[in-house]
Amino acid sequence: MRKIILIIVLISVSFLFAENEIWSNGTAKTLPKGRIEIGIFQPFRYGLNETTELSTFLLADLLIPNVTMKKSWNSHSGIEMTSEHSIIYPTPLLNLMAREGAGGILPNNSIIPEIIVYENQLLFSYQISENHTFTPKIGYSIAFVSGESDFPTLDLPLVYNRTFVYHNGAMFNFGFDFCGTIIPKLDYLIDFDKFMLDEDYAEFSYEHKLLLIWKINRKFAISGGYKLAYSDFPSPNQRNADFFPLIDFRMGFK
Amino acid sequence: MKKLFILMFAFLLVFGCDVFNTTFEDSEDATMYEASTIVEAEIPTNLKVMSWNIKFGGARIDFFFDGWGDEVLMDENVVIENMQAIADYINGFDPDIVLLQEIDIDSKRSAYVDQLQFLLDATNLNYGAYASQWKADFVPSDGIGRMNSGNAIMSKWQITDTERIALPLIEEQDGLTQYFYLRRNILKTKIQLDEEDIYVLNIHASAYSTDGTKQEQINIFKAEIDELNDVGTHFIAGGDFNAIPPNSVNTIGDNFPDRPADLDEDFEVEDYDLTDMVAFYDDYFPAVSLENIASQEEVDNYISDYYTHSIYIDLENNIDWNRKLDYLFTNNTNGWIENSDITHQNTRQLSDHCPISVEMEVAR
Repeated sequence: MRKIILIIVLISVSFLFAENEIWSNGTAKTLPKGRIEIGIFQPFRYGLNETTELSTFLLADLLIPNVTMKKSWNSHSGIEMTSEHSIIYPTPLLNLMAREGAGGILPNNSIIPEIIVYENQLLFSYQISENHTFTPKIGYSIAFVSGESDFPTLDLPLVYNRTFVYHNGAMFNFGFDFCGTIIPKLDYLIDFDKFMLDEDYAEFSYEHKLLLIWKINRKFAISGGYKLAYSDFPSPNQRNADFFPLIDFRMGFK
Repeated sequence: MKKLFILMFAFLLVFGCDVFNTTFEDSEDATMYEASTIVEAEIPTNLKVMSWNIKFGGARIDFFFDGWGDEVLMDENVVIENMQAIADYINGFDPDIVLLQEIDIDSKRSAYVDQLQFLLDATNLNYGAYASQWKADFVPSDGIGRMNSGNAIMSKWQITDTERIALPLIEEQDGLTQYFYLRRNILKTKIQLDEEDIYVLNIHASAYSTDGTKQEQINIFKAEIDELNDVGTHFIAGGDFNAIPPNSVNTIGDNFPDRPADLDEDFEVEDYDLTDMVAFYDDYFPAVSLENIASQEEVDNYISDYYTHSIYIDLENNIDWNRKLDYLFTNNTNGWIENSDITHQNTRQLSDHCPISVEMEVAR
């Protein structure tokens, strides 16, 4: 009982003293210059200047080097526009997954080519009220493949739609985000994405996420929620819809 | 890295409870199938029964577990071509009841082709029952991925009752391997013929156990048919027992001519035990008698018209079918029709097992 009381007190105190810093979310906004954010499952983000943000998934960089630049452009008629440009090199990770025995996600005899994926996305944020923002987005991915390629698709939720581009070369996506503040210190993010795979089995796949972000202060935030993924897979019997709980601890600097 | 994967999956299994959907009840219904077009069939005087381990339509492709190659997955067109060849062979013989082992219905390795539905649609067999022996949403090993493979029974006549009876798992395996590994079973079905029901039971016993699990599985199968026999019910029982006849000459796993030089220890063939099949020959009518088997088998030459299995075949180097693992038994006192048994050794390119067949006189 004393533990519960202690937790309630700590939460109350944190609300009391927290600053209402806008953490990075699903809008077209970039991080302020010099600010850094990092989470266990979130990328490392850095505000390069007032209009440019760089990010990368640090934990994954050794196996799947990746970098994203988010650039904020001029706003017109209350619509803020941002473009995101990512370069991903998945070849080392695919090579690691192609192995005998436990952990062999791909067959050992897979032939993994050099693959560079170039992702681009436009985000248009519109402030629908003081505390709520609507952000439609549209994007495409292109995979540049060099060398002989012979490896199967990865028929797993969240993975299949993101890696299918390694096989067919291009993918389009569009969707939207709703985000805003429920009460001071507590933000929400609702997003919906549709991926167009242009493939016999699964022309489309869908993802939806709901996150609550508790901004303890400028330096710490905790987010929790869920992700729903829906896709057709090469197997007609594979479950189409999958549910994933989400939790993350985020830190911010400056 | 391997330890990391093991820890990761152990965590998921402990906290997720069958996350990958691999487990079964001790007893449950099998899955019923039906051909897309039903071809009405009269009950014949002689019932033709066949048993065939079809190696999931893998024909003679050298898979990694064979030790002769490194293949893991097949393209859909390859699977369809191989399955059509199996269907053509079945049609050529026109059996009334077929016991199948290693048939895939939803596996990445066989391009997710539902092979049981394929065979029902491509043959004169109308009804099917399926019991999975290897099922996982995702096997994170060797690139295997999604898996659903098992035993099936096909019949020209309606299957009125089914049961999947779980067999013991290989105890010597660690928990993680066991979780993702094959779960052997007995597929028990009841088929309505003219005057009587006949039970058909199908087994595919463990191949790579060295701890006595296979013998335990075979004993349970024997107990199951004994129970039917005790109440005077006729049965046909068979399958791939992964056991050799009691009077076999060659028993040493390492000495078989199809054993590859660098076989992975996970797929090591144990030395065969001559007692595995004794009780079946003692108590019931075999499709191939021990006398016939003895008449063919000679010391060390690994040649017999009754052999049903070879991992690898290379006739130029005298590597051919080299052991009998597949059987059919009945308790029908009329028994099998004499000399009606066939070991279809001309199917070398269709699977690593050849079908066996035999005819039974139907009670009128």
